[in-house]
Amino acid sequence: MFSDKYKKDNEKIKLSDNTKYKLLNNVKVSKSMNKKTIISIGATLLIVSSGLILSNKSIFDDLKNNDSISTNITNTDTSDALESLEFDDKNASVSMQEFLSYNGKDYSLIQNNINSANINSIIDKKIGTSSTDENSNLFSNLNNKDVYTLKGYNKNILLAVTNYENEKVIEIFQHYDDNLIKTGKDIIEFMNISNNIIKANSINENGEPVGQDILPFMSDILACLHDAKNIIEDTNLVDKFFSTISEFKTINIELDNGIIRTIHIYREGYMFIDGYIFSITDQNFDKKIYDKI
Amino acid sequence: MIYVREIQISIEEIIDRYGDNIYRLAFSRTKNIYDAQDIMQDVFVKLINSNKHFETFDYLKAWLLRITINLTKNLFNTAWFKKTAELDENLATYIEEQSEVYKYVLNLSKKYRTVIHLFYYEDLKTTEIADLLKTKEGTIRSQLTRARNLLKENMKEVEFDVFG
Repeated sequence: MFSDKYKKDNEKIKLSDNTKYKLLNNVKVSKSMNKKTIISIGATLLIVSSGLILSNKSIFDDLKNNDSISTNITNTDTSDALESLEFDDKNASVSMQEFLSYNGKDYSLIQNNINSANINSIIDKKIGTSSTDENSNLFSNLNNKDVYTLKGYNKNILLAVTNYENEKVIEIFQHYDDNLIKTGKDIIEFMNISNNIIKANSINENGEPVGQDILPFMSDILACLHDAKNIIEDTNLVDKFFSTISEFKTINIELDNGIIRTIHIYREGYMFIDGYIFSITDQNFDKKIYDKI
Repeated sequence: MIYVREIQISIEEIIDRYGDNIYRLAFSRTKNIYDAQDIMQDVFVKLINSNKHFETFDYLKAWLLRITINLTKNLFNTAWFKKTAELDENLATYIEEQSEVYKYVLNLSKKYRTVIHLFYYEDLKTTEIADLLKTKEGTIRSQLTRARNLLKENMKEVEFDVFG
């Protein structure tokens, strides 16, 4: 029976004792760790993940080469005809995602280096103070935060302030709703980037500005993006994207509210923003935009 | 503190009881062992912070499965996940060689993988799956039917004794 076979296969997928031990330790540590350490970890994780994204030759090269994830597979049950699928990676660190949950929607941390000096000019309304009680309508997994809506954004983007002694840690959280983002126009509106970009730079793999100022080209870039289609839900188009792309440039745009967004622009006429892949319709995109930036 | 029927349960015991279930569900949805481990950790961090009282172990398990699904949904929307969403080549080869039917399930899309996993591994009823995934039972039934048909097509080359 299929059910029996599926269960039998599943039984072979299990955590090693070593990974289980690390997991248990991490869970316990997360409970007992003081708030400042937790905030630091959150910040470090964000920087590390940004670094990982930025440090790739191409953010998709590893995926194309299939060598980004080295998996140490240990076969422990040699007595069985089908060996045990036990995944163990002694070097893998189980990281902690910081997130909010508000009105049943989950929010991911997208930025934690917002300048606190002008916070009053960018926040809109206070939603409340988050609780670490999972039953709360406004839940945060690491610490209590004052949570606000932001001027110019709907409630899918929230700002959170965590007070620690004399420090304020300001973070931006985002809820990803794939139903909202069908076209480039949708992402432009969602990120509110049409009229408030104050800086735009190419960045290198360390996130440092390189090359020319991109700001003069932003209106052309956004015009191309405006008419582009988000193809992330179309498996065939995503496959085509992976098989087509050769090189890309990364630009950081800074908005007047302090939010920074990253756009990867591909020679072959794609933009990768916030996990969405946009296919550009302009056939001359490479000459018109890509070669100029 | 987590309580089931007013009895305090240690996180160790819960991980022993349900750790593999959570890991398998997370893996079937993410197809990535690292993401599955991260999700699993986040599930238990949520649990330990929740101070919940569960009436039965079944409620506890259902809660863990629901949180796993919610966290993987959240993960699917991140750029990082979309970068690493493909199955690792070594792992893919291993599963191809060592599993009888799992490899076919992993080739299904996420929504079909999930309903197949919850139905055939967790033995949940379609009403329970609908509750977990916050959708209508009719939708789950049609997804199961479609998933079964896809599996039948893909498993033509193996001796296939239909679904139990």
